[in-house]
Amino acid sequence: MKMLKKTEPVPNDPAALPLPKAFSWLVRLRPTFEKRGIQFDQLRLILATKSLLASRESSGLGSMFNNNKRGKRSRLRITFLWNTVFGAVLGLLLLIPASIVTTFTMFMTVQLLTSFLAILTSYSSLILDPRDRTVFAARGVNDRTLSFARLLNICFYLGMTLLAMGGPGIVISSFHYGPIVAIGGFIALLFSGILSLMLALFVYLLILRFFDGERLRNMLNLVQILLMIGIYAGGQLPNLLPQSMSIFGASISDQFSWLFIPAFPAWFAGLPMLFAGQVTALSLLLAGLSVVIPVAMTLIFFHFSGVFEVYLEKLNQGNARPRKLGWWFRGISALMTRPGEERTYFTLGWRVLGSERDYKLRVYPQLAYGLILPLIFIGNELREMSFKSASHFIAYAGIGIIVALAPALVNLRFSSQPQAMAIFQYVPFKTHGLLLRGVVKAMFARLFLLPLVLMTAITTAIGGLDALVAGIAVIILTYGITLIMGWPLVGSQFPFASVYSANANFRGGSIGVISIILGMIAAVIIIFVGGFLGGWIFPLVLTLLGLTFGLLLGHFYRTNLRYELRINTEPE
Amino acid sequence: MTDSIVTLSHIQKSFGSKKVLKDLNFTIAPGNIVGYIGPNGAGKSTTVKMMLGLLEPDDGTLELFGQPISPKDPSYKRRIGYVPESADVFDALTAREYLSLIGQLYGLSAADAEQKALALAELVNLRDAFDRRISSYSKGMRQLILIIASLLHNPDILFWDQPLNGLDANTVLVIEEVLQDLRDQGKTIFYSSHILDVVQKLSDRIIVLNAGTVVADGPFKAIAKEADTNLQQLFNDLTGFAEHGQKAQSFVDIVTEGESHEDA
Repeated sequence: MKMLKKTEPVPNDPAALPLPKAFSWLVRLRPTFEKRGIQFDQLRLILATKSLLASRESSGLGSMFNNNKRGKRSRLRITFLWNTVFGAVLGLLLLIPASIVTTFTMFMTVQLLTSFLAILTSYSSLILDPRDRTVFAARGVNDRTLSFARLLNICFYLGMTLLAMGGPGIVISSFHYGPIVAIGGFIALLFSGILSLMLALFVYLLILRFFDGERLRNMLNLVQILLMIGIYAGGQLPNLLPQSMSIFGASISDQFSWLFIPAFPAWFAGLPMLFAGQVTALSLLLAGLSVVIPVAMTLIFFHFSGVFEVYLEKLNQGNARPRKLGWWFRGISALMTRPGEERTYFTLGWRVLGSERDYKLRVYPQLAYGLILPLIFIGNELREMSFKSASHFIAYAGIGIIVALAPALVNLRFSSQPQAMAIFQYVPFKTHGLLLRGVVKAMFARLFLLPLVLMTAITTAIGGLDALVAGIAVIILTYGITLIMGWPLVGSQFPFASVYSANANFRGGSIGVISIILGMIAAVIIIFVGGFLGGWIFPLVLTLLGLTFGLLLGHFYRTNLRYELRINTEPE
Repeated sequence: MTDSIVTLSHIQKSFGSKKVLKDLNFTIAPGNIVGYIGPNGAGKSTTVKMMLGLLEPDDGTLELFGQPISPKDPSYKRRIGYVPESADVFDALTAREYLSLIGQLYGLSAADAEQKALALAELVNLRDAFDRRISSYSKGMRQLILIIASLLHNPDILFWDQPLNGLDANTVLVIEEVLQDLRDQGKTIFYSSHILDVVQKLSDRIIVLNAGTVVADGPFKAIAKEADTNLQQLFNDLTGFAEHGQKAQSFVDIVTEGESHEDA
């Protein structure tokens, strides 16, 4: 076929950047692209430039494109390996002795959550980078080309994440169910990735269309969090069927029900079912939805891609007036900090965290994920509406918070304006530890304290005094753990003094893995203490632990920290 | 056939509830240097972005080179040289790589773009830094990179948004002469700047924008009400800012009140 005639990926111009190897196949489709209004030479330039930029970063998948430096490669391998290990653990879900629809629904729910989390936390800065418009669109690149280039770039990163997180599970399924089912699972995995990406893009499109200024940024954050919760809730819908049992019990019903239609993670069990020879109304419906919806969304998005580019310019517009610091801030700052230096840094941290869009995009979805975890742990109790132990719920909420803690702390290093921190280089800045303490406290107060207080209030209403005591204990313990983790994660690097890395997506993945492992360790401790000691001893132990950490580290921070006041304007 | 290279008719633009441009009208004839000035937030950058198709007007029509601009056909941008207000460059690239990229986007070969960029960089003393990453550049060096990027493809019209930001006095002199020479060769230059004495000296025509509307338009001598005024005074009058002396005094009073910290 003429369309598939092989041409050289390297342009005739010897000084021009060639297409990255991962995209060399695009050359064969050049006539097709050009027929659809995509400027192929510009597309090549954008992809090559983005790859070159990614390869200049000391972390990030992009360094695959330029693998001359051993250090970069080994770092990449380590992070890829971490995600693969995590993927292998996830793959064990497919070994649960249950029907294919059950195991694949559970597996795909986690995959959708993972890929969606990766899109929101790591790739959103690639999707929503208005700088591209100034550099490319102002120089004659049409909106369709720019949008397509961005999409290809994200698809590559997302594909690698899916491969690492989902690949091991597919291999495991080939042993458990046979290679044919595994092929079905692999195709379903790809479509689940497309669905995640398209969901995110449509949400961005709608928000960019209807909002401006600071409200636009706030809506982006809010809707992202709601979507995370929606994906989890979608995965749980089939469990509501009367025949279903607990998530770790027997099986989701494999009888047709309309509940499967909104339960979109379950769609991706359809292809494996079909490939296993289960040709039923349910498998046909699920498989159909898993293919048709992502493809339809892709086609619709391409239709609107030009509009998306125009809307992106809104992110370049000036912000609305900043919010005033309200009663919550005043009360909490008085409670958590001493007047003087520490309170100044607390206020600084509070304000910076309130205005950093990248921080919100990276951390808030993780926080939502953390808040979903208790629902997973006590899913049965929720379903049966037998809220036996509200104090256990709040304990699990503490676990969820700890899961979100690592990314929340690590991202304190970054800012979109790291140069602003240079002010500490020329004012008499002596007690460096107070800066870290103030900023870490501000992060805890801003992100974690309010959800914990709200949960405590709700569980107290249900569970009475026990739940209240447990809630207070969990708040104190998580505060102590925040201080413990703050030291290794932010103690070595000046807060808000490094620029965000647009392609630090893989690190996002490994941070997720670390935080989940830490969360699991904390879960084991809390469940052990809570489950075996029970009564008043459980909250008492938590309170004592938290207070001990808090007091020891509070003093330790003040006297043992000295930052190199270095500003990193290049991505780490 | 129209005489103007740029025509804006009844342009309006709002961001949320804020109306940035209100019924903006002007035309630009070829071969002129047009200074576009106004206070911060007056709508200067918004105007330039609309002329580049980066923003769409809410109302009104915008023509470049005698044609309404269309997002479907951005080829007209090859005739424009653009310096953005903020230095939106890819910091991790070297000047050679960045300028080669921009040259290629404008349709030059990579080799030609690099060669031309290097020659221009040599003239403004950037040769030694040419293969260094832009992240290591000073503000003025970044600005020069943006200026070179806007000229690589020999455009017919320049849209320069605050081009003199961060440049040293000697370089400003060079750029002034470059603009005059380009104008003499028939190019059109539309630029905004807060350095008003340069605007007064350089511009064939000055458009003063305040709160989204044009409050003065013409050669400096025509818009000046008094013979002995300068553009700074005229600008203050036109934008309703007369209390600068009083503000300065209050400023100093606040700075110097209380104890000195010299001995602290």
